Amino acid sequence: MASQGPSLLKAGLLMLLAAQILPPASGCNRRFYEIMIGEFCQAKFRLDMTGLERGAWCSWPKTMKIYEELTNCTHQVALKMDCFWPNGVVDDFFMQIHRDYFSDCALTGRLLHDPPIGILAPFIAVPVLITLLMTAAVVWRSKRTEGVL
Amino acid sequence: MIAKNELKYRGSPPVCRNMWRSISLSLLVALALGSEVSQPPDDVVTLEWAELKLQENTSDISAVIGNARRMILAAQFECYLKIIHDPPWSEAGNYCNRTWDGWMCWGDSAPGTAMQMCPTYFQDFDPGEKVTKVCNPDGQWFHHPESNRIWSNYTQCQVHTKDRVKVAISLYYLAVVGHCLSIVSLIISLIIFSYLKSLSCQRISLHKNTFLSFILNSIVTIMFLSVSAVINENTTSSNSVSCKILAALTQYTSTSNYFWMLCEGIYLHTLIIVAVFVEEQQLFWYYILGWGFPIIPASTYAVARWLYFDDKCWISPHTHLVYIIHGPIQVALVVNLFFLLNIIRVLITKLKETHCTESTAYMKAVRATLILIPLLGIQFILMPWRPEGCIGYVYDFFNNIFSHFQGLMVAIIFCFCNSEAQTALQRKWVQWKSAWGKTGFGETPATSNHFNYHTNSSIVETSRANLEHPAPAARSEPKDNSRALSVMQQGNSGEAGTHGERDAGNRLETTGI
Repeated sequence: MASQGPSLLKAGLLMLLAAQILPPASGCNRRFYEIMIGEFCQAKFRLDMTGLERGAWCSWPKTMKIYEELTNCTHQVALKMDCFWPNGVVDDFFMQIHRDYFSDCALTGRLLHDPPIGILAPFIAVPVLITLLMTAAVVWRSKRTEGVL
Repeated sequence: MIAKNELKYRGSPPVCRNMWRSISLSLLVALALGSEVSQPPDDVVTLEWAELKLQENTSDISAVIGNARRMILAAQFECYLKIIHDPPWSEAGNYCNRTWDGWMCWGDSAPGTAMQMCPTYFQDFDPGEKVTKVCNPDGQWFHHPESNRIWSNYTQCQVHTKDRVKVAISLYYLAVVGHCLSIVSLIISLIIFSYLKSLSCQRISLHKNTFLSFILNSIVTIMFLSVSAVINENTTSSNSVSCKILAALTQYTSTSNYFWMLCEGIYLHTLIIVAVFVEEQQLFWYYILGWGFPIIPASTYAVARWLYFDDKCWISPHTHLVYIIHGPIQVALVVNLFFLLNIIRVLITKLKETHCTESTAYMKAVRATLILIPLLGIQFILMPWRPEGCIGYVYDFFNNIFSHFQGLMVAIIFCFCNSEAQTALQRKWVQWKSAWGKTGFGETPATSNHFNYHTNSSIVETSRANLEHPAPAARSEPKDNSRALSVMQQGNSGEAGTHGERDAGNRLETTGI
């Protein structure tokens, strides 16, 4: 009995290998795709994120590279598995990632955008006010006769 | 073109070689575990590898991809945040689930066509066009019939790109032509004003500074347009500091243009209304306002842009930070307009009865500046209201003409159409002709009589006549005028000797006025 075990295992492995070499019948196996990206795209992502401190998880400059690698990984696996990207599996996968890691991050602010009105208004108002003051100063000063600055 | 590759891959990222190694290892492991795997055909793999390798080798493309890639990644991140935070679909019936399609975020939609504006990731995407995504009645997003993948329609975003590129190139050439013509005409005007000493006075000094400011603006704008046109195609230097310095310099020279026009207006205002009989004004403060003050808005803009909207070469006008420059410029234009209208009011009401000739003369000086202010300001009035469609191109054309031919307009109005300058030039021409001396001495007084008789009344002419030729007949009536008018011109006493041959002509002129 004991000697049959390893040989059965070997036979099973050989059969599996043979089965894989034959061309597949269908294209994208969504279940397998889910397992693949869960197994090692997510594993690497988890590793990288634990390397960061928890407070930095919402900092986009720090997490952008890690997030990019995760996205690339899911894309490459999809290409190799003849799945189109993105798909429903990718959506669910990223939704779970975001719920686990980024659920309390700011919703906007990563793309180029104007500063808030509290900063924009002084930036615009101050040069305008200085313009008016300078104009008044020049009008006043130009009235003076020569020799008096 | 990059977008075509992107369309094919729906946002495909650059390859990660480490990933491929670990993928192959894990595939072997998965084989041993017995799960089913589908092998992509070999030719597809090699094709993809070849294209991705090509993208890696050319740094230009990778820089462009990098920029679009960053924007797409940020959009993806914010999309999934929005997806997990949005409330669930509340209406009855089938609906398509919220999803990220690779470029844009789509929320839960009822069956029908969902629409959004095109993204700004790529140069050839028009943000004014629409992206459509069809939701089928059974609650599934539309699958493309050929590839059977969920597909959003981005074709409208680049359908008009070729036309837009042609229009943009022709507008670019129009701008360069306008600025070159401006530079040439302004240099000629500067030469005229500097060479003809008879014209020099404080107002002309201000004109010379205005011309210099316009020349600098044209030169810097041509440089900036050329650099930004090159940058659109070839983005190796995405964070070039020199390009940003050039952008800030463009804003400085543009602001100083409008502030020199303001100086002209303030000068006339002070001259005519505030202190009519002041011998000479302090030009120092005008120089401060014209050259020194624009540093403040320009440096504020540079700092704000660097901190809050640091895009490539600070090119994008789609930010409210540009109002840091446009705000003071519009204030200068409005203040200038008020000053000039005030001058006209005073000239018409108060001076008309007492000093008829003076008010006409001053009117002519004011008229030139008053014509220019709307011409300079019209682009700010029209700019917010760009019409759609074909008329938009006509609008762009006229807006460009008003913006880029300003130097030429200033040169024409302040110099070439200026009667004083015209008279002085004609006189110089006659002098040269007589100095090369074919006809001799006798003819010149007659010709100059002819010229002077037909000349419009000009401030410089009347005052020069009064100062240089104090014949009793000429002196009696305009004596009180001469003091007021003499402030309009300086340094003419030096010219008395050269104009000695035109006594008779000047006497005619003064009585004629």
